[in-house]
Amino acid sequence: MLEDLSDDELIARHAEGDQAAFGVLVARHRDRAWAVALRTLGNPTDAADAVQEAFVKAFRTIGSFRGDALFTTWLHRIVVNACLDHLRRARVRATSPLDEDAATIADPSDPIGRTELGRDVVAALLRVTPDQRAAIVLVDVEGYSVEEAADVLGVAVGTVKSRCHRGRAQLAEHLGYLRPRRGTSPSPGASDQRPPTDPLQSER
Amino acid sequence: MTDQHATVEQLAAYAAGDLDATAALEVEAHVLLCDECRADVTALQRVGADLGAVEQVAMPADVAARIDAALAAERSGAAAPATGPAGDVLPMTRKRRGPSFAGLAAVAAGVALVAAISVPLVTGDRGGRGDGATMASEAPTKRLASRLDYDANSPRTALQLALSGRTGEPAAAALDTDIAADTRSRDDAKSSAPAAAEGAAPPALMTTRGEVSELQADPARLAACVSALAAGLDPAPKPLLVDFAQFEGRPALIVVFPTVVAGKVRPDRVDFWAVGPRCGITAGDDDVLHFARFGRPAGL
Repeated sequence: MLEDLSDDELIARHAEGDQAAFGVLVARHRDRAWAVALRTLGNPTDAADAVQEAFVKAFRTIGSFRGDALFTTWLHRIVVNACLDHLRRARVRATSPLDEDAATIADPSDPIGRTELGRDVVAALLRVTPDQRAAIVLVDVEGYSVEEAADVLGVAVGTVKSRCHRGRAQLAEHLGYLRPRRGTSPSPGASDQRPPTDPLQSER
Repeated sequence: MTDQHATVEQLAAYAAGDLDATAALEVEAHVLLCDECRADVTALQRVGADLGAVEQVAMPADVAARIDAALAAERSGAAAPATGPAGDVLPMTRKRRGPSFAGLAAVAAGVALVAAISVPLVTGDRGGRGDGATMASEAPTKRLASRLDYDANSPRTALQLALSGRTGEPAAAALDTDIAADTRSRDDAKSSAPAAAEGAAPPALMTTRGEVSELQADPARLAACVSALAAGLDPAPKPLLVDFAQFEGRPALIVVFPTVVAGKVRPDRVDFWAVGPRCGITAGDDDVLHFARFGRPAGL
């Protein structure tokens, strides 16, 4: 049974021309790819586009997968990059004053977090920067280790940590868990910008 | 540190155990004495718990099916060159060669897909679908050949200009003929395109060279492109407009759909796609140059 084979064995089968092997890999990993894309992009339309792009790209480039990383890491790097690419396109739009209300691309009313709390958290996630969100989705939502997330994102471990810290701080504020006080925390209006520079927090 | 609040980011690092020993001691010394900062550490821990409790989701069946279809098309496209002289099955090689033989196979797959799912562009009546899609899907698709050069910064402005009818000046004679033909025979196109998809496909395939003019001339290619863009959406939207134009200096087809979010058509918003000439040739590679979502312009 193909389903019983490891990822690496399936990749080898695929390289030998087994037409079904890649499909098993997709079926095995698509839910997690979907979760990452949905939480990063915030709406099912874009998530579906990004995941499809990612799997097609994975299919085309799997010949370049060398086995020095985990397949899941390699695949999720493609998924995350497809998501960030979508967000980059969305940002271009958001800078255009005529495209009013461009933020609906990440429409918090979309039924993506079905519980009350889930909805709030998911909506708040869409208010942190894409880089912070990608790190938080991997580490805090999907339970990757910081090291795995660093591999997926292609950045240093310290960078992942610092993005998570900043992102969580923003989330705490957006969720209303912090009292609105200190001058050191960003005001809600500037909440998607980087917080004030602090030597402790500089990305390493 | 002890007499000055820690930043929320410092507290987040502290709460996650990510500070080095010295910095952790400094923050801790302050947190122990400061009720506010201690409360913030609790708040940050609560954020962590919230994130861990975000509902786990499985990929919806329609998205999974769409990806399987894209990969199946990819597979049939990738398999084709193996029979060619080079025997080189690297997909990237196929792409560099452009949509040649493999492209034809994929168009066949694309046409099959169109026939199997729906033909949004050429099907005026969606067969009694009675949900929120009604209004948006009943209007005929506007066909323009504005030749306008759209860009990523102001697609909505360009679209309004195209809709105003003040563009589309001196196009090539052949293009004028096409527009006229399209205007006259839109109903004919509606009835003949499904026939092309089912029976008379080969003549359409012969024109596959990967130019925007082919999308314009070939209803089946156009329908395949539109279907590819709308793939996975339910209800599958029918385009409000197609415009044969340019995008940032490149020949492009502009396709505008009503926005579909969570199964509902949003009457006040549109999805804007600028696609290149390969759209509709290879499933899973829509040749998308740009996507934008914005308020629906007047007159659309």
